[in-house]
Amino acid sequence: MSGLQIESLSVRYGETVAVDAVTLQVATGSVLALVGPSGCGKSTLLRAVAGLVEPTNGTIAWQGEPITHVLTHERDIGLMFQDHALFTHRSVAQNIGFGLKMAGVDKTQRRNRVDELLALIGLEGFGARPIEGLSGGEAQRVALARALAPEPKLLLLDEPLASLDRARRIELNAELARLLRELGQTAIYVTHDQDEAFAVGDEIGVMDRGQLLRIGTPAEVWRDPQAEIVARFVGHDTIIERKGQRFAVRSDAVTIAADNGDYQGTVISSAFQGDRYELLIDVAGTDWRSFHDEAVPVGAMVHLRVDSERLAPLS
Amino acid sequence: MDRPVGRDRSRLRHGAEEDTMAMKKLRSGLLPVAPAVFIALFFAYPVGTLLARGLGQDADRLGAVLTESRFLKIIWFTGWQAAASTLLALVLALPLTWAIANRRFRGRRLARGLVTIPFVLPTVVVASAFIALMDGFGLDEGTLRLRHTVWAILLAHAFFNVAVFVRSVGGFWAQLDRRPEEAARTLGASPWRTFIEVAFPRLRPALVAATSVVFLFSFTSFAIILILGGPRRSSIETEIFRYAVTRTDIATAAALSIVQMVAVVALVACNGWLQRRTLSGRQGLVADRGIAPKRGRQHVSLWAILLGTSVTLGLPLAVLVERSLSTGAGYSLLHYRGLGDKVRFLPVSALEAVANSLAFAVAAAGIALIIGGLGSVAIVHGGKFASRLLDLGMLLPLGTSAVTLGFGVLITLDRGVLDLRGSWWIVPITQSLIAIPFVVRGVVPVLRSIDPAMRQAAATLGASPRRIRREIDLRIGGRALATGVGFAFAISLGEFGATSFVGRRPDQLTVPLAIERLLGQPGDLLRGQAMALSVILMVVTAVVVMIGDRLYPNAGGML
Repeated sequence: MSGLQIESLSVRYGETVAVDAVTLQVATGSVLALVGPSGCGKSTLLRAVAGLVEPTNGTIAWQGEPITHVLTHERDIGLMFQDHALFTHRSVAQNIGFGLKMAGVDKTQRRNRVDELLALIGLEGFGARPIEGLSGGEAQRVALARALAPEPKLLLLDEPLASLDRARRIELNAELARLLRELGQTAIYVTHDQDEAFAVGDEIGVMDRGQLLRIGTPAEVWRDPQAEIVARFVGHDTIIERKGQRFAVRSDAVTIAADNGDYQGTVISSAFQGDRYELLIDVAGTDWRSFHDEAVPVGAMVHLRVDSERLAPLS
Repeated sequence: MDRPVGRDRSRLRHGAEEDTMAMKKLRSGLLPVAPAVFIALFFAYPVGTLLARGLGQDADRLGAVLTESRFLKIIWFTGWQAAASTLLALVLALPLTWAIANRRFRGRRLARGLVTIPFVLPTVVVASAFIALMDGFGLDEGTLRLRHTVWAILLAHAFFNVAVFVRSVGGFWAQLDRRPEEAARTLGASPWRTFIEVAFPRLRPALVAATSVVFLFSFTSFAIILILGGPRRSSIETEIFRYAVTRTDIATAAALSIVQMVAVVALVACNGWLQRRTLSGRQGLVADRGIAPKRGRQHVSLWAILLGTSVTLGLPLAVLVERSLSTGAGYSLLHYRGLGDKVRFLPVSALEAVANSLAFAVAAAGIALIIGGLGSVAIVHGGKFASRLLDLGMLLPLGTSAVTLGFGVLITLDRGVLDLRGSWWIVPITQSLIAIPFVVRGVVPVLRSIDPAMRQAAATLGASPRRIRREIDLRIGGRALATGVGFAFAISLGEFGATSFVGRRPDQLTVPLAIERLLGQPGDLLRGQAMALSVILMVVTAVVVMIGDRLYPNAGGML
């Protein structure tokens, strides 16, 4: 057994069940992206793995060794907080070097490692600065460097980009994904944004109301979401019913036919995307998404053919 | 009659402008006069005279005080006992401070309220409670003798000041975001290391502020040292009293007052410097960082802390009540019934002292209401210079020890038209000076928080300046003012330091003065009466303060 194993883990706060019997594995060197709406229990799951909340049931193990009752500071699991939780009474370098100081690393080695990390996150020369004056993006990088510095066996990232504006988020998300892959860092990345999850995760886990509904590679989850909430989360907004079985309509299942399609609809929008057009089609009151190579005028009636092989059956 | 609405409107606006100008005139004119005259006459003049005497005609005594070893010993004792008291208070307060900040439990608000009781009690009552404690547990003599030892003083100071740490540090701590500490844990810091490296530095500003306040209180403490220290232990405060009143050596007392004032100013300045230095940037604040105890061990430690603190703070008061009821042969209301009788060591009966105290408290609260209320309005609405000056003048009595104030009044207000020595009013006037800063500190921030647009809106709606003050300022500031006046009542009831200088006439005997005299005499019966009087004073003060706290939590800016 390599990496992290979580076995039917539950966290209860009084009456509310924040995490409900979650079982999952994260292989060493891979990144699991956990997605779900806010309040679905993904942050609580992270806090349980870090040892900051005590699970009500279940076990957490690393390489087969149970760590459920190991104290937080002895777990060697890093956590990057939403809003960073930087130490405002210390400089950038003191923040990054904190974990090394706790581990008893001597001053010169510490300084070298901090400089190395500052270079890695592109903030050379920032070491002596106070936390106060940092921009949102800079603070985010410092928080990442602080969490990476003691080389934790597992890094947990709790919505690390949530406090940034959209443009910075896309840029830093790509950078973060590259960095984690280059370092071969085992990680769990929690987000509520599916694009972020797809960009960073070797595997995707979708959570809702404390339960882990689906886990798999991005392609597996996209092709076969299994649950309606998962389907909607990965962007399959249209659900149809055929012979008593419900299906999520993937955008690659729908093509425009010259005539005799399975469905008929009116084009309500058409967005040019360089190599193709993204069409939104109104079919009897529901919006369908389809991609087409040529422009179709808005308001045109079109025939649609559905490839039943590409429909995703829902349970 | 064309466009009557427009005409009306323009008339209205014109009227409002006139009103605002009239208001301005009134503000810079009459409003600050009464409080300014009062402060100048009854605070600045006496204290200024004291300063002038100590530095002028009695300057040679100042030299003696600063060189002779018996005075240096007293100065040294005043300082180290204050430091030790502060440390002891911190140690006693730490567990409950931690629990209030970090644990969510039923009765947390109640615990915060109860811990405040020792702090609002008159210092004479605290001294009585410790005498009762020593009496009840046989600590007067033997190996565990507390009587007339420095330990009695330190314990009483700590008992009195625990609330300062619990409420100010605990209140600040409860709002500090937990996550930086959690981050430290995930970076390999043990709980203890996390406290030292992350929690403590973030708490430092609150800790520095509370420590300075407690040190200042212990440094200027009078009744506790006078009563518990016995005849041989003296601090600067008790020496000023002994020289001024017992030995009538005004020159030496004035010199000691100078030392005291310089020390207090230095302490306040030092505190300001420390505050600025430790201001460590903005902290992430949350509504409440407390979490409910989950594991059995957490429940046990929480209850151990609550129980331990309750016993520490409750025991002296419980024993005080017990002693007041004990007659040596069982329990009865004997000591309470005896309060009406005339005893040898008091010029009037204890019951008459209660009546005196209540009358003084009503008068002092009335003066604090008028002067503090007018002064607050003048500070908020007055011209820049006048308002600054008045603000400073009305807060200065806070930094002046009660003994210095009483001594100043004693030596100045004895000439010509200002000969108030024989007057009944000298007592409530002096007491109100100590209470006015609390009224001002409670009311001014509330008045300042009123959006000026609200007053302007009222003016455009046709309200005269007088009406605006009644409908807006008084409505909003009224609760704070009422609470401040309530505190003034309580402060007057328990005031000892200044009153012991000015209340020398038989019909000026107050309850705290009576308690101090009764405690100083041998005999179980007199001591029993002192305990009974202390219980009455404790109950009345606690009730007044609790009503005030209900009405307007944290008013008076005390904690």
